[in-house]
Amino acid sequence: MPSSWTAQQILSLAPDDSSRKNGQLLASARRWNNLGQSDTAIWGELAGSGASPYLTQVELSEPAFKCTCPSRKFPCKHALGLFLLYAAQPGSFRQDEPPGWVTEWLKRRANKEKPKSSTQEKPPRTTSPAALERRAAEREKRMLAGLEDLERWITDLLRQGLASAQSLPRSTWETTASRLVDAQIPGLSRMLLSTADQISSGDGWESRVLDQLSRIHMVLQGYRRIDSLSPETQADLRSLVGIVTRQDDLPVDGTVNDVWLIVSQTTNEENRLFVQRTWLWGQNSNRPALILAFAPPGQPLPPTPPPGMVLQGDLIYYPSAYPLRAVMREPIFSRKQPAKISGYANFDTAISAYAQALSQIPWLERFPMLLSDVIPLTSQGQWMLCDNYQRILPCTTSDFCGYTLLAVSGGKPIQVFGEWDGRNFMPLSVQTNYGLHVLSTINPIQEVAA
Amino acid sequence: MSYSQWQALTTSAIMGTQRRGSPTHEIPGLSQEAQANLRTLPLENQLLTNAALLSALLRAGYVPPQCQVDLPEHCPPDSAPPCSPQVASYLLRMLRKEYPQLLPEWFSLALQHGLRLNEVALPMILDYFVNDSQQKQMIIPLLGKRGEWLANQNPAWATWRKPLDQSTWENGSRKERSTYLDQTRKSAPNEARLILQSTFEKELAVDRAHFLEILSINLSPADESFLELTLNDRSKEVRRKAADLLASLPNSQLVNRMRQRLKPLISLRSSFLRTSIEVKLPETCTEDMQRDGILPDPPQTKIGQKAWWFTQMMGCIPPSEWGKIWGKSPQQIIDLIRGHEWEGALRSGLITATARHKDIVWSQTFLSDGLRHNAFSEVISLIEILPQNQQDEFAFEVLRQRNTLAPDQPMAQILTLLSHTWNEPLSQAVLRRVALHLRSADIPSWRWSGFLENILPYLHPDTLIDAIQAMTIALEARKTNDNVGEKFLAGLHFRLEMRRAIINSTQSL
Repeated sequence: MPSSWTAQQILSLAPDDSSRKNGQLLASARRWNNLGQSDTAIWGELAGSGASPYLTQVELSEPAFKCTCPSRKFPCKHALGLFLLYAAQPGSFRQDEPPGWVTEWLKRRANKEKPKSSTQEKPPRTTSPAALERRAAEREKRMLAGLEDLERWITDLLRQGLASAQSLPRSTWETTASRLVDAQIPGLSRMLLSTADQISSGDGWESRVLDQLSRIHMVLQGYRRIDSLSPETQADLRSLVGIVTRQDDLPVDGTVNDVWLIVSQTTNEENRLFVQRTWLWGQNSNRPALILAFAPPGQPLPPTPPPGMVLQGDLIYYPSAYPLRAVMREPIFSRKQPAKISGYANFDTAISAYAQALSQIPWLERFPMLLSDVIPLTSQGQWMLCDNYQRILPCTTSDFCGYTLLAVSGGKPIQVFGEWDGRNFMPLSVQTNYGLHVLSTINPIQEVAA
Repeated sequence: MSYSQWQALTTSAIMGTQRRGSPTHEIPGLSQEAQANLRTLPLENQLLTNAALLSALLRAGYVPPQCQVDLPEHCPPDSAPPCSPQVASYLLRMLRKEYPQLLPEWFSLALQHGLRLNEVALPMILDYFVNDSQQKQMIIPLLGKRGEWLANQNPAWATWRKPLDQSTWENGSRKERSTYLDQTRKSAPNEARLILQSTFEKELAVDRAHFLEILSINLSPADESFLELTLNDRSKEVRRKAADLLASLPNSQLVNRMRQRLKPLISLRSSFLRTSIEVKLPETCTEDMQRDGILPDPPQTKIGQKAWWFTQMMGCIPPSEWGKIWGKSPQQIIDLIRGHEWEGALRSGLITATARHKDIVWSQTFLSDGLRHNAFSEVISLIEILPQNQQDEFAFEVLRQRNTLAPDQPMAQILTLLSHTWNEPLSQAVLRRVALHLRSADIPSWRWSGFLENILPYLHPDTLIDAIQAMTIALEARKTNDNVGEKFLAGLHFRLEMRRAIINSTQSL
């Protein structure tokens, strides 16, 4: 059973520092008895402070944790310790038929419907229709007021000119942004703050700021006349602005069943929330999907399998003019090595797909591209990828990352996954003989442990 | 529609619509009506709408340019298999300071099993060791064709490509020149000396002394004439080093001179009643004694001036000669010295001579004698002169007699001198002792954490599994927690798993 989880990834699942520390102390084989592993799970017994030992198990595909200890933390320090031990010393776990208490839990999990999916943002509400309507109307009023507010602010900004905007303190942007959050349009708050980031981004900042402002403008104008737009575009606007769609409300006609390779996973802080973006690529459908997970600061992100893993199952896409975001129901960890996924054969196909997406979602910022058969090269400090028609795409990437691509390629074509923003490609992972490798911006030897 | 239109929009945005208004463009694909509508909007809206449309058009219409530069050449295929990511992960952990003392084992084991560094590990390694000329030599055989090819692609990695040769000596940094001289001295000692001789006069004093040190490797009578000349060097440190080296050549003129000087000063007197060594201390420290490396001032006040000169001279004569001249065994001579009026001077002179001339028999004798008489500290370093298996046997014997690894006791010190893989009996004996100490908690953790760290790489690999079991049981039986012991146990696991990963990866190929 391949264990692609590294100690660092496992530790990132810890709910707090004390669990992290205690979990590490428990990652020692001498504390455990009857360690075992099967295709999907690992288990062990730990002598605790109670009379009988704690029974701890980890189901590896999600991953999911279960322990008989009384702790309310999730995952508890015992589960963390067991998982860490497995990552460090898989040999200590005997390949075996799982004992009763393991098969029972696994069966229960397979049977029941997941009551609260880990990627859900809000629990379902139950209130009277009249109250819901009233609340919706109030919300709409607040939002429209917020949008108007923002439009005035941007107009003022442009009247004065971006040159003077440069001297605006960051706090001014942040105040405006937090007003948008209050108006329940957090998506626009995020876009505004990312515009503020561009002000200090160096050469060409004016262009990027104008770009971003024009995007915000599109969203504002679009939302104004939302009722005249197609249902899919309505969905895109609502989701961008920050209106949440509950997973249970997703129409099932957006379901695609396939074998999905996880090709990248990045976490950013946005609006005082941790946002994890996981890109998947379908083996047969040859299309991407984005899974988002959120966590408020201080809480861990729900455990999501790392890049390189293969999931089998149904993906339900959110309705959109160009569906990308999705949720996965009950993913099954696939033991098969993925067949080579086609991706885009050359840049023509890739840019056409991008143009198509852009025409449907004009404010699209990052477009996923799985580029097969590209050769990385560098010239005068600029990294680029070359396709089989001898054309190049410019890349924004660190030298370390670029040389990693070069090392894997050896001058021959390779398959790279990354994001295209219309001007530059940012590589995120590359296929090697040993499977998917996540690209690192800096030398991991010198990387300071988070 | 072009970038210049975008420029115009940007300029307006920078200056502000109050001053600059907003440029009006023809937007391709937009109907006349729509264009007219656009112009009725407030200026800021016009600007933003134009920007949005233009931006989208530019992006959607992006045409990837033709490649104007040469593609990199194909890398020649490798015959050696790459190590697996799992094997490489141990390397990464060690470089991040987790059990770094096991690095040499990783390198040699990987090399032994014909592995090369896997592709994604190459930039990491090429980058990290780029300035470390010593470690580089250990890594170069593991680069494979891919590593060499990759180093060629990055000008910052030029030093990986440069072989160490004569141009290194002429133009390289001090570290590079040192590594080059060291390498050459090991394979072609005379050539190395000639290289040093060629630029010796022009080197800085500190470099002359440093490079001279390298001649201690593969020292031979062929080096003598050069070293004799160096006895006249301008720098005191250089003169001292040259004398030190000459004193290690048993048939050099310097050692002959010492023999002559000592002849009247020391003799064996055998009478009816007893045998004794007669010693007469030298009266003066002459100029040519000083030229031959005798320091006139004793290092500390514990030894008198004349005794100091005497002991230094003794230190130059191969100890086996006394045995031949007097017809006595080493042990007998040591016994004769015990209780002597000048015991200190005689003893320390002989010990110095034993070390200098690498006399195995005398080392063995001094060590056993030290063990019997509880006088280890002066002779302990002689252990390094013995061949490895004798070192292990001696250590085993000491452990048998002095059943403790407490840090102030000689055993712990002896083990730290044995920097090679120990034989199984010694490894097992040490591990048994470590387990006992851990269980009884009679050595405070902080006192021997360094010791446990140091011995980890030298335990015989076949003893690791039993060691893990023993330590596990010992730690369990303890009443208190012990982080140092736990770390040692985890280190044993690490080493075992690392070795398994490397060995198994080649078996499955």
